[in-house]
Amino acid sequence: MEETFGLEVISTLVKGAEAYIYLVNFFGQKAILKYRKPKQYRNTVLDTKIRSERTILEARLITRACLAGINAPTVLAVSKVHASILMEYIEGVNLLKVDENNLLTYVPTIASDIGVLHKNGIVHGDPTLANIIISNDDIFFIDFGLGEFSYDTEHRAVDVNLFLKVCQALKPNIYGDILAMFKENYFKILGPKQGEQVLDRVKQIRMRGRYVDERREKN
Amino acid sequence: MSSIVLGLESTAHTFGVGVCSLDGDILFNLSHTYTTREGGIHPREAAQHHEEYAPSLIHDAFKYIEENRHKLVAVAFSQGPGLGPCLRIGGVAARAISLKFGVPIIGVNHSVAHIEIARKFSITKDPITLFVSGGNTAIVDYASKRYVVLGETLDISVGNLLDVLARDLGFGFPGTPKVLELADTASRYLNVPYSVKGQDMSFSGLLTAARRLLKVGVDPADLSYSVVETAFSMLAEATERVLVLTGKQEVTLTGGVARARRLAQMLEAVCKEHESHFTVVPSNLAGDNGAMIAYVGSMLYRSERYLRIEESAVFPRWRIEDVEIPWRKRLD
Repeated sequence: MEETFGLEVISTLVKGAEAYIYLVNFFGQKAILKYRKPKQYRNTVLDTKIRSERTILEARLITRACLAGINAPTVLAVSKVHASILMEYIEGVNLLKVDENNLLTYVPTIASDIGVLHKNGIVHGDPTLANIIISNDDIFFIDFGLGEFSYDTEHRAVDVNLFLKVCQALKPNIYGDILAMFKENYFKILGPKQGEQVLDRVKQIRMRGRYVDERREKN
Repeated sequence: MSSIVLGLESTAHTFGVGVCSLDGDILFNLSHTYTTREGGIHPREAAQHHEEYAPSLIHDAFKYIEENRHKLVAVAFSQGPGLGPCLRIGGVAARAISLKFGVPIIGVNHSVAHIEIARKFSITKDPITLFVSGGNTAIVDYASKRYVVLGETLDISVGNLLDVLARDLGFGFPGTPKVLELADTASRYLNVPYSVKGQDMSFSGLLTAARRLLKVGVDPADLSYSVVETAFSMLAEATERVLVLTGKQEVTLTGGVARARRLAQMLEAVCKEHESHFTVVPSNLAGDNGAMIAYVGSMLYRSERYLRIEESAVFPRWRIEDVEIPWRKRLD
């Protein structure tokens, strides 16, 4: 298949809504291939535009994250035409499967890593626990598929809110500790002024939904 | 001859009256919609429209009830969310009927009614719902006794996008059907912004771009096609994400925009790819109507969720997550 760069597919790891993730054999080493399938329901012009734009953007985001010193899978090859990215395979444990005590030991690094990304104008877009991998005690960020290049407080806050929201939903018992640690270490990188701006915006975002009660009381 | 609930709908442009039996059969459904030659809905004028048409519509419903010797057991009304002045007309009518006939009054959440009336016609009875109308764009799932919004618009609704485009093209309200018709005659796709963020969508950038292109003088048919195609693709993609996320087996489409054939076509393709069912609400129950209010009213009646008159004030803002769903079990 051209969309797999002619490489042998070992297995299909994920059949997602947007892309298929394959484990492939890259000259004797395992590698990941992310392929954005064409959507039959979309106009072809629009479909091609969306898939190639997102593929290029994602590859750039990953590369820039690596250059900023954040662990992310190294990009090995990109095909704009076939909307696929070949990247390093990270062997490790998904943060979803890490128990509460262990999770707490990783939160400071995760917070400063997100801070470093933001400081370098990179917004991950979906930093939930499922997209963070622990490999040899190092933290890797994967799936920049919803990310963008931005220094905007709003975009940063959406990122932070996503991480905190998932922690709050899945680990309610330790959420207080997570929040405190996150703030401390995120602020260390971004500085208290910008850090505070982002956290303030997180509060606003939570109030923004349609027909939210807090908003009604405010009006 | 059966026990029935009367339902009144008046959240926005439509005043509707419906009758539903306690078994959930829809027996009567009549409505009248406020239209304009140009421009959108003016809340006060819409309310005046409802005031004018409500008496004769309600009269027709009672005539039907009497002729068929049905027994009125409760009156249900759209308590929100919606335009305050419009909601109040339905509220006043419902209170009057409740007091005159000595039957309980029941407040129905308008969004829940759109979702439930579509679920009635679904295959699995536990679908995710794409709810698209003039005021709403939301992808809704049922989880632990509540409906939860898993994806929604971050700014304007898709119906609002199409209505404003229609207005700019010189059509009155409702103009969306005319935009959809015009789109069918297009010859090419224009480059307009596409914005899906996770399961959420943003339509305001698309509207701004469309208005700019219109000023430049592009072909209105091509513009309509490009906006419709882009907006519906966004809905399809966000819905696909929610379908995969929840692992549910069915998507159902409801709300006024559910009548758009192209949207149904796209969602059908999405469902096919994920080996799921696709259903769409019958077109006479897609837009705002009284039957869906009567239908949810009949379920609330069975759970004895009556309001006292003092509690029957309208809620122009009423989030769907705040509504208890007593008629659905944890795992339906």
